[in-house]
Formats: sequence, structure tokens, C-alpha cells
Amino acid sequence: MNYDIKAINEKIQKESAFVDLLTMEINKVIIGQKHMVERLLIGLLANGHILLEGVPGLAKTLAIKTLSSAIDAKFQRIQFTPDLLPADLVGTLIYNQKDGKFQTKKGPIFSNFILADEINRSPAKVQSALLEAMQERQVTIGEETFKLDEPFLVMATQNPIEQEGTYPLPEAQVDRFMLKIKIGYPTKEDELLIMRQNVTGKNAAVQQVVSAKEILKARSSMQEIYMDEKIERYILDIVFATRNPKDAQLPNLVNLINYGASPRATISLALASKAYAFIKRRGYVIPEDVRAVAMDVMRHRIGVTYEAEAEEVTSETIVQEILNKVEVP
Amino acid sequence: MEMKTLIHRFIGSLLLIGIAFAQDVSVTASVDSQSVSIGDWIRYSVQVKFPSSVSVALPAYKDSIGSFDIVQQDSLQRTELNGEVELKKSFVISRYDAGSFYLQPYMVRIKKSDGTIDSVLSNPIPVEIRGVEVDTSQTIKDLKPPMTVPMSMEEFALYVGIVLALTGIGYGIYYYIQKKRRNAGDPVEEHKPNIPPYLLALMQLEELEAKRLWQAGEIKGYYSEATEIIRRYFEARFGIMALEMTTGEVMLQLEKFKMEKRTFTAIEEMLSSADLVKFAKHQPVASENEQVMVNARSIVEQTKPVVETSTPETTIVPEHS
Repeated sequence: MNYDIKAINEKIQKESAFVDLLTMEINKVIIGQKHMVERLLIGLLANGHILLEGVPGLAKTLAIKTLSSAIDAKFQRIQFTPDLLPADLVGTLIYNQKDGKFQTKKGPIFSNFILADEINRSPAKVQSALLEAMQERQVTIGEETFKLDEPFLVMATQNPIEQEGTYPLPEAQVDRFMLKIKIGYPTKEDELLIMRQNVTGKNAAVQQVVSAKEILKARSSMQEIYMDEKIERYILDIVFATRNPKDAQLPNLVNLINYGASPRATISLALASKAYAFIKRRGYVIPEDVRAVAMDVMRHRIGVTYEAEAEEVTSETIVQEILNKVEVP
Repeated sequence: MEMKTLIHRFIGSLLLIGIAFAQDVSVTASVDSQSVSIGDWIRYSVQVKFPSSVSVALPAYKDSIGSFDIVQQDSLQRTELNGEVELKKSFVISRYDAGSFYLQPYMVRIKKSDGTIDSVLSNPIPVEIRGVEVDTSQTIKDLKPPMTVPMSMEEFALYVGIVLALTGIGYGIYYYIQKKRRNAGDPVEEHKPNIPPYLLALMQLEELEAKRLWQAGEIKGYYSEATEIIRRYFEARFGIMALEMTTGEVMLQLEKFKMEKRTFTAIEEMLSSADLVKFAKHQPVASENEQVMVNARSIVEQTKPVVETSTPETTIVPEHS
């Protein structure tokens, strides 16, 4: 495949111009949380979904709502509860007495941006319904299959501090999220601004700065970003190090990893790296891009052993150790 | 010698020797010392002289003489000369009580020629038994130190067994760790010649130049090798994991070290331009390729350890290796 890097670079420069506008617009409302906003854009561009872990009150809902407003896309927030049913999510067939036929009532999943709040509060059948829609990007109600609107981005949240009465997502389901982001509290300075902004009662109005069409076009352009074989091999080295740490000169991780990252992780890492390069307005991927997204792509795809848990070694520690050990091309 | 002294000695000898006489039968008892420490031995000797016409009977002592214990008694010695008989008997006696005591008179029974029986007694001998003087200022201590019980064969075998078992366990652990390390693929330490990193880097750059990679169209390989040499040099020179870092991270780490700004900029330019070649299909012109080698050498030269020549002894800034 022939790449004209200069042309790609120019194209990306041109088409990624909206990223700065979009970021500025989101930053009008969201103070701090730069990492989360950046990952939201990666998910949006790389057509992946995001699992977010953080305590309540960190502007998760506000962030995705603001993003949808800035893109002029439809937003839905679904609070996952133990009594939620799959039909509450995807929709159902309702009998119409007038004409004696069943009518399709589409559920809230038919939106561009979905915030699945506290996804682990609902039983597995509801989680499966959502995750299936996420994967297939279509929903079947009765005998009819409906394509979901593009862009379609799901941001699911998990509360890390409450575990009682929850249904933890199975590993296979978690793997379907391209990124798992962990967000923390804002800094003191950021929180001061948040406080000032919220006590005045004057909420900043978010303007639509980009259309859904432009996002889809950007996605297409993003695919053209050049990824050298060296970068591809670097991605493979990182992923394979999670499966065979001994081969990556990391024998100390052998007993700590239960299972390594899947091929889906390889794909996600490559796509997320490209999206990151796009955000940085570059027509090619460099190792910095891979490293920038590696933690968010990998942390939920590595299973740790009981031994690791006993030693308080987390998947983050393992990913970091791998990133520190695998040679950068 | 004064008269007074002679009188004292006479009285003393009288006390030391008890003599009794009866019809030409004399009994003499004596001790070698009248004042002894408790438990000390005293030799008690008895001499009986009588005419051969007289029959005498000596007392038989078995274990003790009065309150004195008999330690040993010699056999009776009899000598006869010119119709006079002399009997000698000696004892070794002792006493285990302190105080002043009398050795009871030695009684000899005589059967006279007319058939009558009489007895002759020696005089009692005073004996002083001294107790052990206790020095209360000293601490109480054992008369003898505790005895060490000799080790039995069973105990010896037990100790040997424990030592062997511990050695076996220790060796087992050592063997297990070694095996685990071997299985884990630990790199075997190689003895490398101690070449300073900057010299090694310069040598490697020279080797790279000799390969003429970019002239052969392998531009990416040329840049990759050049940056790898520089990164490896940084690892050894500054102790940073440059091979596992991106350009941005390397520069961030190098900020911590004191170096000229132009050197810092040169490093950043070299690594960034190499990134473009490696990852963005950048096709540099020949002069750029030549410049890479010049820049790489210059970076090594400018960041190598400083050699101070002001003092007779050369000082080199320590390197990480």
C-alpha cells in the first residue's frame, strides 16, 4: 500500500481542526478531566466504547452530555437498576388495539450517545442486551432488526466503592469496551473553578461546533493515518508480553497474569493509537501515541491471579511494567 | 635459753604425751598435733612397755576412739629386749566437728603374776579442732564447678542428623531457586570488557558508518541503528531506560541532567527527525543522512564525562553502567 505521508498529514491537519474547537467547547463546561475528554474523543473517532470507573460526582454524565450537545447528537442516560429489563433498554413490541397489530416501541438505546450509569447494578441479561448492541450496532425487536444511528458511543460507568448488590461484568463483556478509564478527583485549582462556575447559576451554553457527518468523515480519514510496521510490531510486543511475559524478559509476571490481552486488544490499541495521532493532528502514528492509550486499552483486558491480588499487584502495575520493559522502536 | 621458756616447753610436752605407769608397765600416748583443722588427720601413737613376766591386753578399736573416727590403724609392733617387751600401735584419726576435745585415755589391762588384774591408763590428750573461717565479704561460690556430662553416641548421632538434614534442605532450596531462574530465562551474566560508554558509542557509530546503509537505500535501518546507539549510550551514561522510552520521555528524563541547551536541542532534533524517518516515511536527502552521523558523534562528545586536567590526577565523572 502506497502512502503519501505529506498528503495524509495535510488531510489530517485539515480534518482534525474540529478537535480543538470541540475540546474548547467541552472545556467551557467541563473543568479539568482533560484525560477523560480526550478519551471520549478517542472513543468517538475510533468507534469504540468506554467503560468509566470513578466515584460519583466527577462530571461523567455532564461530559458525555456536553459532547453530544457540541456534536448535535442525541443523548440518553440510562440508570441501570436491579429491576431493569432488556426491553427497557432496546425497546419492545406493543399491541395496538386500533389496528390490531404490534407496533415497535424503540428503547433509549436508539441514540448517538448513551450513558449507561452504574452498569453493574443490573443483572447479566440487561448487560448482555447492551453489550450485544454495542458490538453488533444493531438491535432486533421481535422479528425486525434495526441499525443503530452513527455515531454510536456508549459510555458505561462503574462505581468502584460499592460492590454489594452488584453484578460485576464478566471478562468477555468487559473486553468489548475499547477503553477503560479511571478518573480521579480534580485538583484544588480546578475544583475552585468548578465551585465558582456552579454557584453563579449561569451555565455556559454549549454551541454545536461539529456535525455527526463530520465525525463520520473524520473516522474515515483516521483510517488513513499511516502506521509503520515498527509501530505495529511494537503493539504486538506489548500485547504478547501480557500473554508470554517470559518471552518479554518479564519472568516475574508469569505467576501474576491469569490471562493476557485478546486480539481485540491489539485491534483496539492500533485504532486508539491512530485516533490519538488524529487528535494530535498528525498523519502518522509514533510510539508516544501507543503509550498514551496503552494503559486505558489494556488495563481491563488482563486477568490477574490470586497471587497477584494477594500481593496487591493490579493489572495497571502489570501494564506499566510491560510498557517499561518493551523496547520502543 | 631462758628458764621461763624451758618450763613452758616442759609443760607443753607433758600435755602432748600422756604417760602412765603401774608395776613397771608404762603406757605412753602421743599425737603429732594438738591443733588441726576440721577433717585433718592426726597420727595417734601408743607405746606400752612391760616385763615379759606380765601379760597385757590392749583395747580393740574398730571404727572410732571416743569421738574421733579412725581413718587407718597400723598393725601392732612387738619388740622384746632383756626381758622387757615393747608394744607399739599407731592410728590415723580425724574429727568433723569443730571445738576442743580430749582423746580418751588408752587403757591397758594387766594380769599380774599373782593372778590379779589391773589396768593402766594413759593421760587424756587435749586436741583442738579448728573450723573453716568464713570470709563473709566474699560471694558464695561452688566448691567445685559443675561437671560436664560427656555426649552420648545417641546424642552425637542426633546432632549429626540435624546438621545433615539442614544442609540438605538448604541445598534443595538453592537448587530450586537456580532451576526456577534457569527456567525463567534469566540472562547469564557475561563478562564484558569495561569500555567507557562514550567510546563504545563512538565505535558503534563508526561501525554503522562503515556499513553504508543509507547509501544502499536502507535509510530506515540507518536511522534506527543510529538512534539505538545513542539511546543505548544514554542508558549507560545517564542511567535512564532510554531504549524503553519514547522520544518525548527521553527528553523529559534528560532535562534532569546538566547539559548545554544546544546539546539538548541537538538530541531532540536528532531523535525527532529519526522518528519521522522511522514512522512517517520521511525521505531525507543525502546531506541529512550525513548530518545524522555528525550530530550523533557530536552528542556523544558533548555529553561524555568531563575530564579534569588541572590536577596531576585525572578525575572522571562517574558513569552509570
